[in-house]
Amino acid sequence: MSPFSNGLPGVMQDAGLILGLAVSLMIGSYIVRDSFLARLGQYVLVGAGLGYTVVLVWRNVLWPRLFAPLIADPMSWQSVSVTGLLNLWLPLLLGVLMWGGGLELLRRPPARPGGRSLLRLLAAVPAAILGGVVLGVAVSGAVQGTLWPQLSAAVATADGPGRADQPTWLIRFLTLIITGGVLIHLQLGPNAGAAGNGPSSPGSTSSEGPRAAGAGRPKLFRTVFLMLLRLWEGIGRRALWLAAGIIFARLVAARFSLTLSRLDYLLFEIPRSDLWQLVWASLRGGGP
Amino acid sequence: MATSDCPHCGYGNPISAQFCVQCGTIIAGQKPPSVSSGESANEPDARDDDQESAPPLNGEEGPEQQPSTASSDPDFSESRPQLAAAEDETDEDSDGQGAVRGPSQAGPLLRGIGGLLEPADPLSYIMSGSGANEPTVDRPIAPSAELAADEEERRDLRRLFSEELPTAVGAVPEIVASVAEPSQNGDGLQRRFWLEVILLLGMAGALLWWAPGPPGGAGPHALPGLQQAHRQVDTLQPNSLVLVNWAYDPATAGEMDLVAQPIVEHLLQRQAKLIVFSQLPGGPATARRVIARAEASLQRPSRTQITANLVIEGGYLPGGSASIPLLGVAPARALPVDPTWVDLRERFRIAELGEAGPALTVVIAARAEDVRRWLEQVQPLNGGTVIAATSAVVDPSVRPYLHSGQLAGLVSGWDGGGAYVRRLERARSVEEQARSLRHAGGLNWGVGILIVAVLLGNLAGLTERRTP
Amino acid sequence: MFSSRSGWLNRIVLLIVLLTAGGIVSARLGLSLAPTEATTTLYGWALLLGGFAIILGIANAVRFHLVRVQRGQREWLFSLLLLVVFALVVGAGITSPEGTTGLLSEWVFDAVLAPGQATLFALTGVFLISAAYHFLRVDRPGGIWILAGALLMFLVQTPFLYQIVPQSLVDLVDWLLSWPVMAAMRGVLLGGALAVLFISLRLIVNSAK
Repeated sequence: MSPFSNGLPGVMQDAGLILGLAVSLMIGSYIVRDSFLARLGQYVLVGAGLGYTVVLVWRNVLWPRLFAPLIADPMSWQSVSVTGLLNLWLPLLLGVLMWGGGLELLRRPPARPGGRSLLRLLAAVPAAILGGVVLGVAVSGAVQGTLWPQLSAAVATADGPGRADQPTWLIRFLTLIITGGVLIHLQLGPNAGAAGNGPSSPGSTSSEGPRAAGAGRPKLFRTVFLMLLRLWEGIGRRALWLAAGIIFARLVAARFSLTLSRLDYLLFEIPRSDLWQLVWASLRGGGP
Repeated sequence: MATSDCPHCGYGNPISAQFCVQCGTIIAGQKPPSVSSGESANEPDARDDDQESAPPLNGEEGPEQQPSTASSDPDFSESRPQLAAAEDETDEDSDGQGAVRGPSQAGPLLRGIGGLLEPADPLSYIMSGSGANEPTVDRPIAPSAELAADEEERRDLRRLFSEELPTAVGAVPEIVASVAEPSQNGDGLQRRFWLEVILLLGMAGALLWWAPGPPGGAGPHALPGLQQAHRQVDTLQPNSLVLVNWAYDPATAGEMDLVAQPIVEHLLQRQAKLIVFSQLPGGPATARRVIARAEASLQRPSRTQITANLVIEGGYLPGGSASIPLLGVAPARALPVDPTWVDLRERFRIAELGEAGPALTVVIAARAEDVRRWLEQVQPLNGGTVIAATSAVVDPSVRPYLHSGQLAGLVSGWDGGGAYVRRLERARSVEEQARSLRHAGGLNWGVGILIVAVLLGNLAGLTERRTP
Repeated sequence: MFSSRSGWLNRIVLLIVLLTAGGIVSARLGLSLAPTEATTTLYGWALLLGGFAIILGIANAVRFHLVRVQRGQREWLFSLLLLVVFALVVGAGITSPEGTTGLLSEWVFDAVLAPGQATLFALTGVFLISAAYHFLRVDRPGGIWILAGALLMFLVQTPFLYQIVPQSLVDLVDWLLSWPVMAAMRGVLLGGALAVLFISLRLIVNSAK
């Protein structure tokens, strides 16, 4: 138990310790089989998680940012400023539409058109705004935060933070080759450079590809080009495999740390608690 | 009722099911081999009263899977394009002319520039790994032999999941047979429980008895990027505003606490003013606990350095990537406004963020997605310096950002946290040292057992290849 | 009149999505088609709507379990337990003036959420050994490269191996991480960003059609 719940009575501290241990053991029993206890632990965890999130969203987001200012001045709609309208009243309207429409969508569709049908339709408005914002930030973020900086870095002529004893031009060239190879692999797959898989219509296996690629081009040139493309893709693919191995090893380090932390909790933190010491002393026949 | 036998476990599923209700195998596109007598495929479901909200249970059809409902509801065909496409594919396959493209046959995302103008269905990428359901794309017609080969490959994969451990390396066949379950039930991974139990026992034993002695050398290896991260924090002026994006919760705290705590300690040591927020519900509470431990650790050797409460709780920010740019353009609006949490002095500090931006941003994340989100959505707006403290597995994925200069430093994993601790100018308590040694011992044994398992797996593979 | 969403409403929804997304993209890319205040307002709305959406999602989950209990469906007792725990936690949080920083909420966090979530994720570490046994094999496509990468990294990050490997091997792993692997992951990042762009464009074109 953390010091943040220290103000509670001692019995609650002990109960928290036992509950934590019980939930851990119940969920951990999944390793043997998906049993009644494992399910019980999972349902308790989900119930507590949902409840905690409701309280958090209400007390940390909706109440202080929206409802408290509105309740503090409930008549503000009569002389509302543009800022207040945009920052408080409109989000409230959109949120209520989302709640009303969302809850309505969970019910059976109405037999006749009416208010419920209208509510269902209006629920699309906040969803559309949210979807538009997500779409906008995804596109602009991808361009500003990844595409442009990473492309710039890939073709940058300035020295990177490489080791001083290695020829930086060679490393930069290798980096560029691998990055390009991975992109070719992601686009064309392992069949890049195979006959009928020309760059003009990479995914197509119809006869259009070879015809378009080979129409006005010497056969030798085309063969060499496809061979180089295949070689380049092969380099990218192997670099990806190597990266996958390294990522797996890092995944092992990450997940083993989680397992070890739990084992440490069970083997060291629990036995060190006052409650455990008391129980242990009683079992051994001595006093606390 | 028409049923379709699962190719994996043989369970008879409803014809419209996408997945086997018994083992989860994808069965969309399978030819229905059996139709129960006395039942029609278009038999109307009698449970209309219950279709309002009852979730489909095992062995019964959900409301959206009823053909009669589907045909009567105009919204149905729009909301279930994937199902309709899958049913189309089923028809094609039954004629022997269509081709279901499995993950191994995933095509490219776009076929040329012209693909930009083709209608997109992102669900098809999620469901099949390729644009298999696009009507306008010229799909390669796979020959039946290729389809059969693919199916054979999938069967091999299933067999591998259900196979027994190698008998060639000393396992007793009788024991293996006694714990074996029918090989067609598909939960081979669960039947490996004793391999997992060996791992658990090895780790637990290492924690209890086999912790290594105190390392005499340089300790864990510091991967590139750690030194830069340390320098960024070390050069902070007292009272600098530091924004901390706490992107992990108790689920990953077992690892992430080991990375986060030394950095928080260092920031407090430099008397930086931390503004901590999180986009995960469990984030703020996790942050409070780690910060409290960091403060407790610091108070022993350098109590005088801690002048006042240096932490402002920014709380929880929902909205994901759609709301986080607010921290780049108007941090004062994103961070809490409730006067009961944030006193006037602190609100002035938050307001400063909007004018000058943070001196440093620390993203403490268990997923690469959170680091990328910050670098895509906030850094382009405020141009601030960012360092990342991440889970070990995130390291390779965010390293390009370190190389491009978007990240000014990177600390990852247990080893990164351990290397960072050694750079802090403070003595570690006995308990801290003991815990760190236990962790190292457990990791040693865990990785050792894993390497042995990998060797056994490869031996088993070789044995299988030699056995006709 | 309101029975179908295929007509005018779809167009209005598409228009809202396009206007919102277009405004944000133009403001972020400096095209000055939309004032910065407009995008700031939209981000603020997204924050609040995110809160509303979470509550709605939780309401859906609670309703699902309520129906299960009402109808006595399979595992209804578990659902009842979930609802009881949910109600207790919400009650403890709402009645406390401090919300989630109140004593009872902190107690729930310490006693249930933290140990439960941590144990659930700790299981993934145990399951990794089965994955390693089955998939880290030299006879799989790329198996040698994957195994080589994994073993090299194990040598550097595992304490007892790190103490015995030569410094040159440690330098090699650092170099691999800093250059070839970084370059490969850069390709993945670029591929992902391009995919986001193209899928967004295709979604818009698809909807406009």
